[in-house]
Amino acid sequence: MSTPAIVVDGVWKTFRIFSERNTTLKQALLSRRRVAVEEFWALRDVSFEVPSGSTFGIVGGNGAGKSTMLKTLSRILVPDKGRVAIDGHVSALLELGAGFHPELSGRENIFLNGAILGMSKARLTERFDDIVAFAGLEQFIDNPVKTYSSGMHARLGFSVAVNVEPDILLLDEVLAVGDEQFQRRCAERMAELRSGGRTVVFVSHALGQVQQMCDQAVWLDHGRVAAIGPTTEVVDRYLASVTLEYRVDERGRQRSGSGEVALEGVMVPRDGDDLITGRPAVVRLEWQAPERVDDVMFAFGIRSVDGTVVGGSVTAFELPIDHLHGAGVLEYEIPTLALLPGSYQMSAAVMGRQSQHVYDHSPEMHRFEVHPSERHHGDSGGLVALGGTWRTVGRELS
Amino acid sequence: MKVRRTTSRSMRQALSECYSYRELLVNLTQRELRSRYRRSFLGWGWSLLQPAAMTLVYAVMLGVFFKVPRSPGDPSGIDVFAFFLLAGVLPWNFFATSLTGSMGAVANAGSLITRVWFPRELIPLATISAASISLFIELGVLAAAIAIFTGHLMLHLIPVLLVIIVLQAMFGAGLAFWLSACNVRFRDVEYLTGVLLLAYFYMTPILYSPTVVPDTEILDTGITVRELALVNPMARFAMAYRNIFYDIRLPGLNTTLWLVGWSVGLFVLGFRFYVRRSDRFAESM
Repeated sequence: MSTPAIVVDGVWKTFRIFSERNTTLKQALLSRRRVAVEEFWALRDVSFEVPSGSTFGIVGGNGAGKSTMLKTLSRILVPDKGRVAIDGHVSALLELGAGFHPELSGRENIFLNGAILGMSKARLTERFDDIVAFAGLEQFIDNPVKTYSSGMHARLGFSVAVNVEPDILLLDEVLAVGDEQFQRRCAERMAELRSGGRTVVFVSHALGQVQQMCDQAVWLDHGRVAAIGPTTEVVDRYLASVTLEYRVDERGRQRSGSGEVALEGVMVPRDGDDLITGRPAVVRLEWQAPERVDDVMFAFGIRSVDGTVVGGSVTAFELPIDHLHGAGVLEYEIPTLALLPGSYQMSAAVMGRQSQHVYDHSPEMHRFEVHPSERHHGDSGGLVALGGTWRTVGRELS
Repeated sequence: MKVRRTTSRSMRQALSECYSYRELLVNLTQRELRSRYRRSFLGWGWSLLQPAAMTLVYAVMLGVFFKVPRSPGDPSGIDVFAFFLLAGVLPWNFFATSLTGSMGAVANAGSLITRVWFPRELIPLATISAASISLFIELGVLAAAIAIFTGHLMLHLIPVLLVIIVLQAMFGAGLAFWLSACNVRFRDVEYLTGVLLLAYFYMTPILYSPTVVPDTEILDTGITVRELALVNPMARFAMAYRNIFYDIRLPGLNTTLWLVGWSVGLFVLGFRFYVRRSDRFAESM
């Protein structure tokens, strides 16, 4: 085993939660008694080593301390106790477009972001074309970043972060964005970094990705190390502890359900190659039921990258299904796609209509990217194109 | 490759990290300069118009209505009240911008601070670098005006002027470090500073000459009111700038030593305080 790139040694991190936080001087001075302070230990005595040149995963439920751990590694947070030693130049991509200035152009932001990540201007100038090409933003590079979709934002952020050639790259859930083509390029780039001897630490909910990419992993549970070792073992132990029996399918997606019906779901454009705001689209659910299954319903839901539920539908009321047998396809017609450009994730499930028994379900059934149309320039942020038009009432405006 | 610990940084470590991120400082300073006056018709003209208008108001009010006593520049003999005022007002504006600008910049950098690490000291430093550059331009215009109207050239004083600007930048940075670190926790600091700056402005001989301050002894201490007023570092800065732009001569040794002492002292104290506090910025944002 090679020398460790990262040594985490007995790290504790607490957050103080003020039941009434003193944000003004007056409150702090006037409250004679100290405000009740709750201490929340986000990390408790965490120790592990990441071997140099390996890819390391951090898994665990919500609030387990994964992101706190990553922020501690990237120096954003300083541990209360313990020690973190890091050997080499670190680049971290913790959130989409970290450090982008919305008013500045993509070009200016690459230089600013690169400098923030500690890269010299000369190196940035040298890598500039690669960065832009990797993000696929050649045409948009001189537009202000505020006009970018969330997918474009994420692509640019990822592209800068991997191109600063860090010795150690820290990634938080960032691979959950972008269309499949970009996902594939990310995976290739990660493989390159790994074969180039870089160390990658990776936090994800997508256990499939963790299993595919990581050599070793640590499972954090309520801030403590619950398991550590080869990824497969750690992920298996983690899954075994989670009440909802999730497993990972052949395409790296989380799955649950008893399996009497198998489901595949996609969101596709009615015509053309790309999903475009305002154009027709179709949710297509393909099912297979080798044995007869009674009284079922299908459901799908769409989430934005940050996890906000944008919409969804169930067949229960509009299309009661008495039984399924064999194989078939169900389509949900969307006459005008109201989603604004960006990356989305579709979940899909097939379950018993009365019993709610899950036959097959994946929260990450299909990832898709919605592209901008010429017509929706007026929409200013958010997730949904409202589809309205402006007019004046009464006095004419000049 | 070097091994580093993510425990609190020493001052030396912080300084060397600031140095290794110097390109980011340049970048942030450029961003600050570029985004200023963006979308305004006059653009950088405002940087000159604003103090010019302010000076006009003061010159009319103090020079014409109140007839504030003043003495001509020694040895230059310049007796133009507007120049006297500008030589004090421009550095004062620089000082005020250093403090309020830094506090605002740190408070608004939340999205950056919670997402990526870089030496946090660069945020106030970039604000102050940008303000120093605009001060230099403004003083250049003032020097040109003085040369045109009075015939006094001051090219030989440029090296001294640069030293004074650097000292004042350090002085402002020392205070700005302290205030912006406190402002992350208590947003009152920003408003309180605004009020205190106003009082401080009139306390400092910007609109008047220090000779206006009475030279009477305070009780039996042996210290005069004027001597006490000149402990104020900003009074010394105003004097130094007036020496250069109004008297057209080198600032006195006494004044220069005061300035070096105040600037280096405050910078070191402020920097240390900020370095220690900045570890917790990400949690308070």
